[in-house]
Amino acid sequence: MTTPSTSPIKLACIIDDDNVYINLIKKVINIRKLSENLLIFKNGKEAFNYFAPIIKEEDGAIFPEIILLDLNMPVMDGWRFLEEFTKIKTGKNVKTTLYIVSSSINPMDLSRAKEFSLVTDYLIKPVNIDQFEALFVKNSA
Amino acid sequence: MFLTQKKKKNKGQEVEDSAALQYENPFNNFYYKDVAELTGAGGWTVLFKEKKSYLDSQARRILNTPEDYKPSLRTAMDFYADEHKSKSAEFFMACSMGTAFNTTIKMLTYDKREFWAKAVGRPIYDENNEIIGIQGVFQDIDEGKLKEISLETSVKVIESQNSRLFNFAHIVSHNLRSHASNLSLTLDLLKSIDNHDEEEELKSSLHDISESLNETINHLNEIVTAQSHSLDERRILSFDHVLQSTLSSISRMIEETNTEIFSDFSEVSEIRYIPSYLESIFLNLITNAIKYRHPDRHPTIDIYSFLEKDKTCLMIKDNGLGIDLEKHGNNLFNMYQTFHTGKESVGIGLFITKNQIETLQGSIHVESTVNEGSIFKIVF
Repeated sequence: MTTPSTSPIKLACIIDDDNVYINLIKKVINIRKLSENLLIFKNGKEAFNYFAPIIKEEDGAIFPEIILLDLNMPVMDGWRFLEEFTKIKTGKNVKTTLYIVSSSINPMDLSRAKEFSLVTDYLIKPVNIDQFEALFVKNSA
Repeated sequence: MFLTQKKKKNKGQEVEDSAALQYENPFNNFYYKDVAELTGAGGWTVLFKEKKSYLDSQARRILNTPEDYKPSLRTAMDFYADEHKSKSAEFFMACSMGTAFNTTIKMLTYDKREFWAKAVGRPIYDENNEIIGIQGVFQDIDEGKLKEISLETSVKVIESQNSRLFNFAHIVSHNLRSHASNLSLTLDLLKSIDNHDEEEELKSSLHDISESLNETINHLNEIVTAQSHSLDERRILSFDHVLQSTLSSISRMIEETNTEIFSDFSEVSEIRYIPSYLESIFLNLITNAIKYRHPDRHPTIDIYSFLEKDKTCLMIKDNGLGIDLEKHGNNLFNMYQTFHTGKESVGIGLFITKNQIETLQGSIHVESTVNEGSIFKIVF
């Protein structure tokens, strides 16, 4: 453990199909200067297609330190993304912290999330500005 | 009274009847008759050597035979429903080889009314332990059986309605939560911002949230109205007529996409159904086929009706993108499940279609190959 720092992380990633939410998160990140750069994907498949070659070739391309993943999305939902992502990530040296951020309060979803070692925590929307900040600060610690 | 033909005209006849009677204690005659009447059970006997068949008075009453009806092994099969004839023949054969049976089977009266019966049968042995015939009892359980079947159907319908209601409630809460959470985050941001432009931007996102909220409520409204019809509204509808009126309502979409639609309702041309349901089934499946068309070819949709196991079926086949059923099969008919990107994907059409079909005790099935197309089959 290094000493806690408030300096922003280099790259964060949001996988969510809700445009309004994405715009709001962008603002939060800008205002509180939480991350230098931001990757945005509209569904699991777009994100997977981006990450897969990076992980496969271990080409040292910058990998997001934090991923905020929604569950209900078209084409490839959050669950399938987790399954596919776990498959390709196993055995590879990729460091990232993944949070599920969903509106679902279904207990089934919460317990299902626990089955993925990849998932650091499950956050139920609404998440307020301070809570977001806490996630990023914790991660850059 | 097991045998009504008991006569004492000549010696031969008496010998014949006593063979059938040997398992019937004359002392119990009175008792037997009462039991038969109480349970509505009829008895029958077939004697092989004598080539004689007998039906007792209860059996005759249940089967509604004319008074002078002479049962015979050759016509015995006439009393079983077509789909159960081979089953009953198997039981008879096995019984004549020594295996008793106890089953529930669909029978036919003399005047061809179907009814469910509980039937037992066993071989008759002579003193040398040879099988000389078979005998049995059947009981009309139609009323109970039909209730059981309709109960089973109701349970299935209720189970599926229940799970869809659960899905519905879950989605309602999820979608309203999304908007609520966006709303609270926007307000949160508004408080911590002192830049005028940012403030304006956030205000416009309030507008977006309110619009999405309205849209969600419209969808929910659509679903509730789609389901608030009663069976009384069923009419005799011509498939072709309903299809044509549906097509005219989306004629622009069809023209713009160069969609070709072929239909054949010659096998079954009409159906008793709720008009708005049939329209919505056509509309949802056809617009889906067009929305999820393959980019390399013009959409072609084949629609035809046919009979399967006495039920009217409808097939709607397209040459579109197809759906990976291994991945999405379970979710296909759930609300807000969309499998392709696109502005037009909303994810309530198939949910409504399935609901309407199941409300009228039908079912919908799908077969699909990615990049080749999908086939939806509806059993009404």
